[in-house]
Amino acid sequence: MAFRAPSYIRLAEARTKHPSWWAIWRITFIRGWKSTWVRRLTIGAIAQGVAITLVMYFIQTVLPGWRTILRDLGQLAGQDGGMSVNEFDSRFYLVALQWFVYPFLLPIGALLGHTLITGDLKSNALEAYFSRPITPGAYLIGRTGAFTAFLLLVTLAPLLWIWLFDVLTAPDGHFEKVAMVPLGMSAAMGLLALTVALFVQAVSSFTRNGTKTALFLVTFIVLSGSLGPIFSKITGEVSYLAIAFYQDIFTLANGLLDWPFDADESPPFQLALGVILAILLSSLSALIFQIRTKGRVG
Amino acid sequence: MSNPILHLEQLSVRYGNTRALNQVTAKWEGGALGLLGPNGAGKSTLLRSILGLVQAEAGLITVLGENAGISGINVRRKIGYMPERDCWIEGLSAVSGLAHLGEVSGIPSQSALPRAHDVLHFVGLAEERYREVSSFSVGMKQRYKLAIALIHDPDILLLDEPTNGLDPSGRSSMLEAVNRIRKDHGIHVILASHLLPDVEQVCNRVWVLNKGALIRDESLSNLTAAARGAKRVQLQGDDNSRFVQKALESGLLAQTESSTSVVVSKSEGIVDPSEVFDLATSAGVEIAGIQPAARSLEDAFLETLEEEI
Repeated sequence: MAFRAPSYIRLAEARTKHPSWWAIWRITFIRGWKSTWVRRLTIGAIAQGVAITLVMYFIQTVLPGWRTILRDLGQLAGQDGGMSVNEFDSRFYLVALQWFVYPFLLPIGALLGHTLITGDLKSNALEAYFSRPITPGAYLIGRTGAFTAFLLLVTLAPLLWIWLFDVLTAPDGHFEKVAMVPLGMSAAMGLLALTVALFVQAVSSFTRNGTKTALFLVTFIVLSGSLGPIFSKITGEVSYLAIAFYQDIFTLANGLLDWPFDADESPPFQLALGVILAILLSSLSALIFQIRTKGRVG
Repeated sequence: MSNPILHLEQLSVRYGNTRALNQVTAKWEGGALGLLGPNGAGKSTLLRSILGLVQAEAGLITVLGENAGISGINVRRKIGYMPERDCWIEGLSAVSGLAHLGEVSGIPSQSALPRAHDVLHFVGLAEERYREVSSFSVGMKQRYKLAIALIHDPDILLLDEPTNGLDPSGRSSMLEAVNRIRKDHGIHVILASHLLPDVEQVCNRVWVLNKGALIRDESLSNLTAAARGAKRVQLQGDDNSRFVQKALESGLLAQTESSTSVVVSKSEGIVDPSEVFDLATSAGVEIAGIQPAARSLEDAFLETLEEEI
């Protein structure tokens, strides 16, 4: 079809003062929400958080002294360490963390991660972006920021919702036990979500395929999760547990919640933090490399 | 003298061991500039260096008075770029993707969508605006790329092979649209193409690049006008030397093709047949025939490249 250009209109309107990454952040978030499975998982995570608070409300209504009963039952059963919940304190949030990381954060990471920068690499969108008033750094902030926000929406948001409900319904003196949760959990989840966002995008920028990226992630988590404890058992050295990514997540959250460590079952906090930071920085470098070479940005 | 729209000073770009641009120095006052050159001459690299998509090894690029190396963001705000390779935003319809690119360029979000509709209408993609660009035909993708370049209403349009893959009517429509943008709205155009008729149709100035060097910077009229008015004169007999001498004495250009054929031209303007007859009379030779010796931009271009070799 030949086109007969009707008219070209010059744009008289003033330009926005929003930072250039804002437009990328916004469209990335909208795109994520438009994806059926990402939307379902996000709603699922939030619904799970709401359901937990509803259960807490129900128990609180039926059995107002449930927190004391729970602690006493725990002590009777001799559960005073590890993952057992014998008191509704910061440790509960460490357990609850896993209910959101594995079923929601990692699947959303795999579903959304391969469509962002990798999608732009495949459709040559980087050329369209970088011929505009935006820097590669701002582009990366926009894409990764929105992705990270999604990952926080399925982890940190429901946890903070539970915490708020917990604080509002608990008797006096309970706040001190969970006071570290908002700050500690925000720091831990923020770092974890950013690491996952960068890592998944870096992997998919090489695989250029959603299925391959998901397979790589599963292999990575399973393999690192198996090798860490195996090496630790063989050598008797607990530091090897830092090879296990899930162990690092847990140790990081544990440390940032200021909860005492079980030195026999967790790698040192500094080591776990180091592993996560190493993954974060190497993923960031890989993405910058891919954007510079494949996007031909000098 | 007015400030040049584009000023290149000793611009060099290197890809690994390959030198893509070699100390290019030139000024462009605006209008429509054609970048000509064989494959690998450095046309696309020049466009990409103006945008900062490739890093210059040395040299200076000034666009609308601003140093592109220092104020790259400001420079890119004023430039619309139509890349050679297809590009789109995956997962978005044509209109949403275009509106998004408009927002990235600074258009407020409430204006970006109506603007995207207008621009898609302008490039003839109004009916297809809700489709994903990945499903577009080659020609539609070309038009979409023009829309991408126009969405933020730039002052300078950089077009890299804009008619690639278009059928004749699509090509003519594309060039007509570019001409209208330039003439009706004063938007400056730089067109890189290996299709010389495209350059001839749109541009008023031409830069010829070869192996990364600028080998000719001339107005299109200068490059082709002499040839357009040239005449091929067939002479009786086999001695054209007196005719050639008389032509040169009269300030004309005379190029001997054979002992009986001479091409006569002027550096500017058209050679009138009566001038040829006057020359023949004064040289004492008889004319067997006169034909227009039209030389297109293609002839001029090939001649320039041959001179280089």
